[in-house]
Amino acid sequence: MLSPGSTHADVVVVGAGVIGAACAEALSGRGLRVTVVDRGAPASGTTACGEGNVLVSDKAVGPELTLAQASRRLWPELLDRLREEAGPSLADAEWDEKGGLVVATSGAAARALTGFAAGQRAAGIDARELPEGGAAELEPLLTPKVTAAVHYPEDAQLQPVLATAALLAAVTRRGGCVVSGTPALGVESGRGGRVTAVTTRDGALPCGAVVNACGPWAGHFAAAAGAPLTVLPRRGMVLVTGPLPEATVRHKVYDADYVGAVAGDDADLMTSTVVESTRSGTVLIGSSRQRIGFEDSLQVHVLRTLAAKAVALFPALGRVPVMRAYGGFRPYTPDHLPVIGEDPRCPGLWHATGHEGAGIGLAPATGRLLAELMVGLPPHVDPWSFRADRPALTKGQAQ
Amino acid sequence: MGVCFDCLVVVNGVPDIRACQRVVEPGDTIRFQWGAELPAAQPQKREAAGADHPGADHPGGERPDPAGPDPARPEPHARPPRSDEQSGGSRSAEGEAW
Amino acid sequence: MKVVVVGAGPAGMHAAVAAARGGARVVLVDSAPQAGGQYYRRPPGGTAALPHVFEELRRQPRIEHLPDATVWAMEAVPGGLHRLHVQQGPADAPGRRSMTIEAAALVLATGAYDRVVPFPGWDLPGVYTAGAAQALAKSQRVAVGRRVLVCGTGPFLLPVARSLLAVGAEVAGVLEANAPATCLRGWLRRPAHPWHHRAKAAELAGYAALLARHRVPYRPRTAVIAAHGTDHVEAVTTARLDPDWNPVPGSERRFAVDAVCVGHGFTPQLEPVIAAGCRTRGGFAEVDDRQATSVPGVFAAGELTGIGGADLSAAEGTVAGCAAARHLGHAPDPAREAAARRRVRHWRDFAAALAAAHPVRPGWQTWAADDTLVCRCEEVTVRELRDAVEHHRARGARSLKLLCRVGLGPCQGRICGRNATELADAFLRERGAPPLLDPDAAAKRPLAAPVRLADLATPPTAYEAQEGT
Repeated sequence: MLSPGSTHADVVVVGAGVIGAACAEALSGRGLRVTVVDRGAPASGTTACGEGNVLVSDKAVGPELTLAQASRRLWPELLDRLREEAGPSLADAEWDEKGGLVVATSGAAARALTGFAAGQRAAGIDARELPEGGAAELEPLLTPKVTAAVHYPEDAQLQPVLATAALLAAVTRRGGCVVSGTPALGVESGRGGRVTAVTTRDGALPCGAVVNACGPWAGHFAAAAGAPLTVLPRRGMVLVTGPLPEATVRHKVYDADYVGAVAGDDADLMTSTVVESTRSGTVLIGSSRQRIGFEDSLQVHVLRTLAAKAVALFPALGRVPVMRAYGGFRPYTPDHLPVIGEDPRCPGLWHATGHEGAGIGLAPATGRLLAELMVGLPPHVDPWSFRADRPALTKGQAQ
Repeated sequence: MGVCFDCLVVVNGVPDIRACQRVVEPGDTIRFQWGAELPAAQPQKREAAGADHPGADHPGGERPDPAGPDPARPEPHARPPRSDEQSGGSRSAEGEAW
Repeated sequence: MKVVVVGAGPAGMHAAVAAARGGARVVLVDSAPQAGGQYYRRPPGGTAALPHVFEELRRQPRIEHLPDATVWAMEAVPGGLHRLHVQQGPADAPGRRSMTIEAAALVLATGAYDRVVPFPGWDLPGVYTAGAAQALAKSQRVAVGRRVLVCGTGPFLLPVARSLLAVGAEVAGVLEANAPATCLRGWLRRPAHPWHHRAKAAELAGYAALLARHRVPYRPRTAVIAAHGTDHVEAVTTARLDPDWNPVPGSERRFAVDAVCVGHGFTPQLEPVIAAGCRTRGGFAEVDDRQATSVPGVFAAGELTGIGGADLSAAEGTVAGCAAARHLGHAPDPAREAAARRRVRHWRDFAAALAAAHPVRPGWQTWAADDTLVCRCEEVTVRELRDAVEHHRARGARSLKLLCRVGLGPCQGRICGRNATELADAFLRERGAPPLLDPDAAAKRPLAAPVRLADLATPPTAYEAQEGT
């Protein structure tokens, strides 16, 4: 499959998850010749472990929300374009503008939620505070103990593995190449320390630039490339119920404390309830956050906590069978912002990682921003907050 | 046996029970399950565990009469059997899952 | 400090008895209402012709038998212990007794279930696994049909035919997919071929006589390649097969039957093996000559380590039970253990010959049509699986599931996992691509059985606390 040295790619993207695929799609769409390499199969890491969130509701006003708003606009456009190029069957990613419903179940949480939503409204988010009974109208099976609820019609969902496959198919159609089962080991540099190739187990891949899209493993690749970066794995678990009747759960429903958990820094277990259905009828129940390295053994107490909180939010689901549990690792950065851009310590090395649990939603804007910066077009969002040499990422790292 | 989940039945209002594994007890109400169903809001018979089960509220072998369909069950979830679903055949809902 | 044995078939029962005899306290956890597994399945309360081990299991004061108990998750806890999460009560009911059991030594003996490869109509009511048909006959005295065809591969088809005859079904035939030459080569490739196993030879002769008496035809190199009917099986198409199981053109015949029993070998019930982190090899738990897995204190016995029948399972169980007791510092009888190890070596030769004599050959992949379901839970057809590989470029088992939904339904790929992996590998081979990169992903099921959400939410009681130990 891989014939080292035989082809020269403009860009080698390391990592065939949704972020790597979105970057490769955006780069190939601007005429660059792209090779994507992954040590495993495409979309078999973090991308295969998420719920497919495309959310604006969970983000506080700031650079990540701006990126999320741009990305939320881009996803349907991108899927339409892929559908036009490849036909409907290949570009069906189960895009669903289902909307989010954030609920509080205590007085204090209600005040925090409505305050949070007011700030988002000022930033242009459609965040609708619901009157009493409004939440029950949207979600009939929700607990009556709701003290406040905000409806976010912009929140959407898609199936991340299908979406990634569609993006990679576009790259291949434009003459790019996707190489599976090939671990990238580091980079080779030429004059001025500029990257000239990506080294793999099967030989070197000459290129003009390399994109580190290794998700939670991006810290490892950055270190191997000589530009260490603080990107750490943050583990999450999801419960999957058996198939349930249509419209049992209609929106992405989550407890207002989710926002706090996402923004939290605690290495210990943090959980908050997120409940939503998929097109097949299964209901996904999350979410947990733990910083325990790449430890992937089953921890039943995490599942129990998720289940208890889900039953509290949806008492009617108490006797529904859970048929599967799975876990994955999110790429965490200490300041909760992604890394998008070239690494000044290593010219030609670009990063696109650190999206924590929001990578599916942020993928198109990330890809587009990276491509704009690489080819020298004006960026569609301000890249400053996402730069690779910000102190939060390089502090304490050897140069 | 017990691995394919093709033989699911509804026992005392609780769906997703493998007929090939469950031992029938006197007083059980059992019907076929056509597609996905939500469990009834309340147990329709003393459920499962013995009298030592903390949720058992009918001591000493008394069993309440099996109730009819639970009125609390939300109407939108009722779904007629699909014509292409066979007894013992697949029970999956439409579309994709992950 | 106790030994926990999971599964009470021949391997688990012998493991429990051996460990208890050696001086260990034993908890025997089993999902069935009574011990014995599939091999000794019988009507409720039936005791006819049960071997001595049942008596010993009942009498041994150091064994606590937990029937109707499902292990749905396992995790390692500090101190080298394994914590089992168990629900006990009527199958799949909400509100069952929920407990955790901590094992200082663990013997896994969860056995295997029938494998069935897909063919057009295999999802019709009236198509049964051979094991299910046998279980219904043995435990409920129910015949799955009036006129039944038994097909697949392996000597296990014969006792299934016997069970069907015993409950009054007409057995229209027993079809063995492999050629006599394949079977013979398999049996001869080992020094200890079945003629050295007089008991097995006598058993085979008994089946031959039984089939002859009931005028049941036995057809080698023949298979059911399609079942027909609208809402139930009414007829099947059989065909002669070449040694790779490709149907011989023109050899198709149609038979009217109202039930088909199919068994293409067995798939081990590996969930606890994988949950405990034990290494597998060729789809089975890897064990040494003490039945020890790669994880200290965890032993595996019976069909989990290879398909070899009840005698091998029983012998492995004894070895595993002794080893588990020794792991806890007890001193089981060395002579008994040595004898069991000799029996294991002896029957492993038989098992190896069995595997060579009754392979599942890739020609089955030609039986399925484009619209034949591979995954029955999620209704994924052969065509959709092919699309996932050819158009969506599935390269790993995990992404394959998410690209076409294969194995995502309630059975979690237990029925379709192997078939889907083999089909996908064949499609990849056609394109010159390597096989799926993470084939083990299909067998990874952290939840070994479904649990109701509220039961998962309820804190369990420690078994140790309940028992006051």
